[in-house]
Amino acid sequence: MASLQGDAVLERRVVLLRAILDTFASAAAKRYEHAKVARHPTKIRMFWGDITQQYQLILEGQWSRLCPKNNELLIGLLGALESIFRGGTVSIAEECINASFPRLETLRQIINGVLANDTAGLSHLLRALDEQPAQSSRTNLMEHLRQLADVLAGDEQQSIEAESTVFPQVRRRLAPFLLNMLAVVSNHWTCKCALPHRAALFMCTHRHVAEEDSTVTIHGLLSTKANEIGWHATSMNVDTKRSQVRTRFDLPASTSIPTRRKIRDLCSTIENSATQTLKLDLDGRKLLQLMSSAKDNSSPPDMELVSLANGLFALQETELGIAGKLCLCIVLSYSMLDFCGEPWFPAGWTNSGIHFFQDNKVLRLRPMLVTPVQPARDTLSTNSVVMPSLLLSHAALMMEIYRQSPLSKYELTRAAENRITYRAFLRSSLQDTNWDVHERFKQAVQSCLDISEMEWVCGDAEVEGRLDSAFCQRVIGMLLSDFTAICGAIEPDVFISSLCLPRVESSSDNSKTPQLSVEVRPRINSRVTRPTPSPKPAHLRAHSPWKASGGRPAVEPRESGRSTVSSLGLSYERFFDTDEVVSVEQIRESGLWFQRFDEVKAKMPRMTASSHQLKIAILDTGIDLENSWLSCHARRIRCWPDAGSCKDTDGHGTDIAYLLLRLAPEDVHIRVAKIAQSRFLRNVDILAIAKAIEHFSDHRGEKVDIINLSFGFAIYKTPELRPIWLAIRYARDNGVLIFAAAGNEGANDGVAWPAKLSDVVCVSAANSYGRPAGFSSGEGHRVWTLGVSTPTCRTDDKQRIIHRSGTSFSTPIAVAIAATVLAFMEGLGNEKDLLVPQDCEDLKSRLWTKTGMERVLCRTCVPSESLEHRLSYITHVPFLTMSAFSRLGIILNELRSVPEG
Amino acid sequence: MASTRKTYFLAPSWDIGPAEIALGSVVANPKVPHRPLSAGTLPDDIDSAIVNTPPADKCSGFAKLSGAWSLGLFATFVHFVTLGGKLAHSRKSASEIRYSCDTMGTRRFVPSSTYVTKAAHDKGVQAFLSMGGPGSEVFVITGIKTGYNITITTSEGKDVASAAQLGVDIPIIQTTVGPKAEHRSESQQEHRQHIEGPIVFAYQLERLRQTRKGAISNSEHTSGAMLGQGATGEHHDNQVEIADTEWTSVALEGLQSALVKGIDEHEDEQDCSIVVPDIVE
Repeated sequence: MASLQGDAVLERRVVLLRAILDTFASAAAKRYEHAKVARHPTKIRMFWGDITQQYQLILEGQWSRLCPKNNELLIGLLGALESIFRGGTVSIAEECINASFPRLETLRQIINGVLANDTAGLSHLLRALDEQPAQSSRTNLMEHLRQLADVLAGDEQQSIEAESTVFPQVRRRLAPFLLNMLAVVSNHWTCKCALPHRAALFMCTHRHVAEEDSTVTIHGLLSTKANEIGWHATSMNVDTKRSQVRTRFDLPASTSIPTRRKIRDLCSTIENSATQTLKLDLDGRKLLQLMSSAKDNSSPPDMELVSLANGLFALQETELGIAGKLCLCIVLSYSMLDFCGEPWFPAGWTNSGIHFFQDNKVLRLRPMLVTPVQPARDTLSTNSVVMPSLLLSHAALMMEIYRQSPLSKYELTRAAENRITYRAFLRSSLQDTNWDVHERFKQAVQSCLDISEMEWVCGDAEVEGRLDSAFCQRVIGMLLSDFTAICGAIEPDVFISSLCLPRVESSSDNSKTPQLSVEVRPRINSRVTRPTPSPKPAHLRAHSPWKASGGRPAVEPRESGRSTVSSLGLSYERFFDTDEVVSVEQIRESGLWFQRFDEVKAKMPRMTASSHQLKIAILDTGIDLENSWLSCHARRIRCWPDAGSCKDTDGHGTDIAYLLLRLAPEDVHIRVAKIAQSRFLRNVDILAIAKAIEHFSDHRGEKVDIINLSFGFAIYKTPELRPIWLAIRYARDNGVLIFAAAGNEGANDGVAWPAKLSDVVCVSAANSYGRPAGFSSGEGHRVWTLGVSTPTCRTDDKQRIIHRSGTSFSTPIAVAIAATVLAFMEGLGNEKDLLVPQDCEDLKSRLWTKTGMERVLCRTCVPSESLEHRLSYITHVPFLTMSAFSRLGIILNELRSVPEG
Repeated sequence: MASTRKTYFLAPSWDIGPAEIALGSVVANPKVPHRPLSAGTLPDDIDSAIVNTPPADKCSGFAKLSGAWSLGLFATFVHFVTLGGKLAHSRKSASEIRYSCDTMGTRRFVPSSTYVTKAAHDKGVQAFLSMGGPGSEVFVITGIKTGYNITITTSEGKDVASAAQLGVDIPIIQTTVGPKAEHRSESQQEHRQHIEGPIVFAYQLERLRQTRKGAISNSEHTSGAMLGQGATGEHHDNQVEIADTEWTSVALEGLQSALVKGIDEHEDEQDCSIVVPDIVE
């Protein structure tokens, strides 16, 4: 590690050390006070135990291995500490004579019980408390602390004492302060609203509140009407020195001199405020509105609260980068210490109890606590203790944030009934999670679980303090360590303020509690008419060179919807064919499936061609036009940009093309774009994929009706995959259906991206009897079809047809079925005996939407006895065997229920 | 009812030798006769007489095409491989092509039902028919025409008048705006190519079609003889029949080919049909 030098490395160490020193100083001060007062052997042992634990960490190189410079400082610090005891109160044990710091070592061994039951040892410890070091020793120690503080903060003016003393003090005072402050504010809400108004307060680490800085700025929102929508941005400056609350609301800082106006009813004041921010000043028990002379023509922005569960998991399609996840966990960890007691999170310290806010563009990732603004209670909550159960909830939360998906709600609920089973479940989930290279993240979660097993006695300050200390050190310290390794010295509070994800939209927010009004907007997935092509996405208009990020992500604040990822993680991207060996029985069964299709098709009159040439685009490994079977269907195939660039050297794309040509109506043509050399998507060009989607979505290119994507990515990462996401949106807006493979990881990895997108028809694989294939992802998604042992147009060296399995192959089959539906609807004009309703033309366009097509497929291509099932196993047969009259009626009925876009 | 007019497919290029297109082999794509589906040993099972037409005298002439005159089979081949594309409106219609061929030969056979059955049971053929299901077709090569010592001379740069003498219809472009460009080249570039051969320049095919058992009577190709059974694999109860031997424009549409009338220079200038592949961009 000696090679790890330089500014960035130093900064990283500095933040790490600072975090640990904070904890160390906090614990030392607390224990010292307890030990001095009590003079109980256990308390004394505990006090020195905390100190010698740090000493041992330094000696074992857990600090010094990182940076030689810091190592030197730390050793010097230990030397200074050793010199404190040279007054003779701590005599050196024989075993410790040869130690580098014999007195510290003696203390450590006494603490560790090596010299237990030794009254002399205990007396050593007791005397050490009363140690009155020489002035020179004290000066030496303080000098070392000062030097270390300079290194840590990079600021000659900052003292370690100020940092270390203020840190715990402010933290413990913050929660009561806020309660008091909100109580005062509540007195000025004299409205008759049915429910109490709410404050949504931003959480932060509060690590930079110094003693001389008398105010703490708490940012947040205030609700306009309790039972309606609307929040006003505020910032609350809390005076940390005064015992009496003095709070001022102002946002942002204004250069003009404000005048103040007394507020009688805060509700109407907020309601009538036309400015972007309402500025209030709370002085004692008076609430005043700051009237700035500067013009503020901006209107209040639309703000909406979204639970973490929805904003980050359920409704969020963008993946948060690892730095953002770490930062979020750091802020939440600090906040948990602040607000671990009542009344802050009545919904629990869970993904539904914590909120974000979003405007009409982006979701801000600063976590918020939402609390009612109510009068002061007789007894303020002083329960700010880290309890084991809370630690378990926090471990679950951190794990969910890392995975960016919730743990099984059922399992959580079941396990949470018993702390032991809950912990066991979380440990199991911990092991099941793929932590990749983020070992420290994992260790933080694991430590959280470990600490929850430590002895805990309600009301025992020592025990509580030990838990606090361990949590800061082993959980927050570990997260900070990883965070600084990625982002350098940037403060988590600064970083979290800049973190955004795309706004989420939903028809309901599951986390919404009866007390909380949250603005919701209906999600619109469909359109009434096929829209005209919209302008090209910006990224496609200007094709800037793109390359996958392989190194450290930028840490600069991002504007909107741009989170960071550490790397593209190529090992996760793939086409979804399995390596499973196909059995003879499976081949026979899939043969019967095709035979049944052929039989039904043979009995059906050929669908009449329409003026609209249906086209399907395949984005895959290309196509082998020299393949004997495909060469006979060359008239239905066109490559983009040309045949030479689409030569398939893998076979995957050829197999997909075969299934489409085989199962789609004969008038349907395919378009091929090669987006990968092999099925493993190595060296995949994301921008090329996006360009291909855009080309096939636009009349300026060659617009198709359906795009087949038999590949996917384990997770969505921005900015790497953003071009594809934008292109898919572009396709959707232009009335192009996208079908994507769900993935072959079963329930292990969940549905792949982009199949999980709400704009994409996710296709899962089943065997020929309609039973879900074991490998197939897609639980919770509707469309399933044959994906086991599907034939190809290639043979092995013994002239046997190669069969393959995977959602890769169920996808083109589903696409072919969809094309059959489209062909029927497009050929209606040629059906002489069919009475076509007048609204048919209007409704027809809804088939080119994900919702419309999925509903029709699940209604007309599923055996009637299976219609009520959640999973729809679709085949051609039910559709083709239905009379045209019934088909049309059912399709139009389904389309009528599709919301208009 | 099958027509007595023979139908020939033009070879896709002038560098395919007789060894590459085996009489009796089964192919998937009529336009790719040199890539058989069947095993290389299948032609050894031909159990009917193979007719070898004696070589004719040297033939030569211009490659020309018009509505009134039928072009010879070999001339059409020369025109196709030289200029490519559809013959009606060649983009190089101002070129003149002269050719000569010292010797031509023809080998053909009429496959017996036994042979067709064997062909249908060939593993490669079975696999291919399985891929497409009922209605899938394969083609048995039943005739091959070869040529030796061929010389093709192409003259380019002739003006419209001289090109018209070739009998090719030249579309007259009417322009209403701007000057009318007219280019008459005094010079003439001549390119001569000699192909020693032998090469295959045309071939005949017999269509075999897979059909579902019991569904033959419904087929539009009722004239086809059912010859193979279980040909698409043991699990499929399918059969193979010889489809109507008549090649129609409709049937060739899927093959992106055009059917033109011609004469067989080698065999008494009999009328024949010539399948000319389109050039696929």
